[in-house]
Amino acid sequence: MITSKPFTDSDTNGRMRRKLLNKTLWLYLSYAIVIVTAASIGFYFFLRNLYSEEVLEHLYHEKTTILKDPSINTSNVAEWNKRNSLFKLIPSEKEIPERFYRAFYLDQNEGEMVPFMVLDSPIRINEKHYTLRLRASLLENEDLIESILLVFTLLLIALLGGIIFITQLVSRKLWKPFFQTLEQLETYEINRKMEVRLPNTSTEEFQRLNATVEELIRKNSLIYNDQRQFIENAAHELQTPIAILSSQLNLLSQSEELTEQQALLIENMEVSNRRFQHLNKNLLLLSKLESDSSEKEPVNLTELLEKYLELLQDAFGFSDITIRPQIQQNVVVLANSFALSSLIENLISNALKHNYEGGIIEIELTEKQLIIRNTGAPHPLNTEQLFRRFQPSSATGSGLGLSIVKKISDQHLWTIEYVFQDKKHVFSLLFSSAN
Amino acid sequence: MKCLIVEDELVLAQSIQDYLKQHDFVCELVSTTQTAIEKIELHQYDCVLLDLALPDGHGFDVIRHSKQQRMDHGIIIISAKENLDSRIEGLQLGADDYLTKPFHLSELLVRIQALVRRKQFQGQNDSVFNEIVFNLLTKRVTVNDTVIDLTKKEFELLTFLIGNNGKVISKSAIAEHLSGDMADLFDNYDFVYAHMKNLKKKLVAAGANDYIKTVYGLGYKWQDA
Repeated sequence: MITSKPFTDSDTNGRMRRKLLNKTLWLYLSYAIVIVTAASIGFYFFLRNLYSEEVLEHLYHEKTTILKDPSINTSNVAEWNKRNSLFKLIPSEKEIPERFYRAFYLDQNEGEMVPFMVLDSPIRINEKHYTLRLRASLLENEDLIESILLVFTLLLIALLGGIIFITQLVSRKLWKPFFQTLEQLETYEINRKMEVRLPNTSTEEFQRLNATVEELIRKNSLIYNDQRQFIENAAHELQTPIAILSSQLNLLSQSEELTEQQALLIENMEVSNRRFQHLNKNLLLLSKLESDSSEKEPVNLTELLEKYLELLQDAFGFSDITIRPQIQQNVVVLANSFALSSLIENLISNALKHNYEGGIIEIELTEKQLIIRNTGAPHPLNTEQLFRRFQPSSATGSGLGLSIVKKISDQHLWTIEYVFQDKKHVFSLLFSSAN
Repeated sequence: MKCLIVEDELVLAQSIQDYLKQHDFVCELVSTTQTAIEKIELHQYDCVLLDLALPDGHGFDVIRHSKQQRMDHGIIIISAKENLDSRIEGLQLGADDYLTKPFHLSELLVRIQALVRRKQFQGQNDSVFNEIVFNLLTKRVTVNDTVIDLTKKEFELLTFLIGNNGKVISKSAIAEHLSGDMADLFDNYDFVYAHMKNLKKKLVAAGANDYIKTVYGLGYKWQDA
């Protein structure tokens, strides 16, 4: 099941799913990170100010107490200063304005510099100007920051974990029908008469998706079938006029007083008619192959090939093309014998037609594969278009041969491959599902 | 010999008639199953050429009828349907041969001849053309009572040519006759020429007349000098 595949999955489904997940996940995650960070910073400053105000208030209160203290006079300032570590009376030239600020002082207990809130206020003792400096440690403030950070980090982790978990859950549960539909579509082939069973779902969007997809498939198979039917009918209807043309030409060539020129005209017409006939036959074959999933039976491929080889030896015993068969005995494949014959015929025919004088055809058959190698054009064929319809590589070909080969090999779940190797064109048919 | 052509394409039926006429076949043309059945009930035929898709029914009805009535004419189906199933069904019903349209008239002729020969003599007899005698069953060929050794293809070629005595036969018709369905394998018919040359050489060497004529641009012809 696609939905249970791990994140690291590298196939198409996995990538698609990761993308979709990541998109929502990243959005949620970045939003959460921004909010939590901003909140912790804001909260920190808010709390710090609150605390500073508290400390300052405390300092003002102290100041008021000290100012009211009658025991302080110029003579005991030094002693008073010694008694109070946090309050100092500093003599000054003139009266300074009252101010407060933050500063670092060495803390005796901690042995390090710690932040303090400082309040300087002018004071007059015995008509002399003094500055009363009051301090209060802000050390607890730092503890506060630590606590806040801890709390917010925990919050962030909980939030992120929650988001990831929920996204997973969403993808697994909510998106399940979507991936089931996707899976169905990926295996769907229009030329196979296959049922598409889309899952039932209570999600409205997926219901719509499934309904649309079902309608699309229904319409397209209808159009596809119409078209296939049309090709089949057209090809069938063409058979009779071709037959008439052919018989008329037969009769015409029996005429007693034909000039050379007329004979040549008749010959050209016959050649064209044969091409026409051949093309039509292939069209019929193609539409037939697309329409039915014919029954398969064990076919002795060795015997079939030898039948062709006999004919080839017979036909090419006189020509310069050398045929080198290497055929394993009793190779039996599960196939539709009619289709298999067409396939072999087309492959061998290609190897012959695109060859040159003195060329070679190698035919190799094992239980796993059929390989046909032939000499021919000195450059590799265009593999992208090779198996498509009406991509003839020669003026005389119908352009249907290899698409028939491909179609048949697809129907049998075989693999047809082409490579250009050692100046030979190599077609390999792999019976991957053959028994 | 009498032949009934059941075919709704009149032009095609007529060209078959024309071609067969010169080989001592008397042909009658009908275009429906109904008239075909009437004809075979009234007359004795050696061979029935039967199209399957007819305006008033399927050609198989004619086969069924003639088999029920135990008629002994041969039946060759000529159909535009290149379809293994209908071929098998037709032959199972009792047709003797099946030819897919389009076909060469020369091919049709030798099929009819082979069929008639099978029906009349069970293929046992020797066929004679002047000094040449051949037996379809044993594949033995003699020229002036001397046995000549022909390959399988050369024998097929010989009987095809003699069967179409006096007719121009195109190279493609010969190629198809020799290679059956596999004629499409070939782009050119050089092998026809090669077989023809060998056959000619063997016949002449054995003292036969040179009956094989090359007709420029069209093919070959077996001609009684």
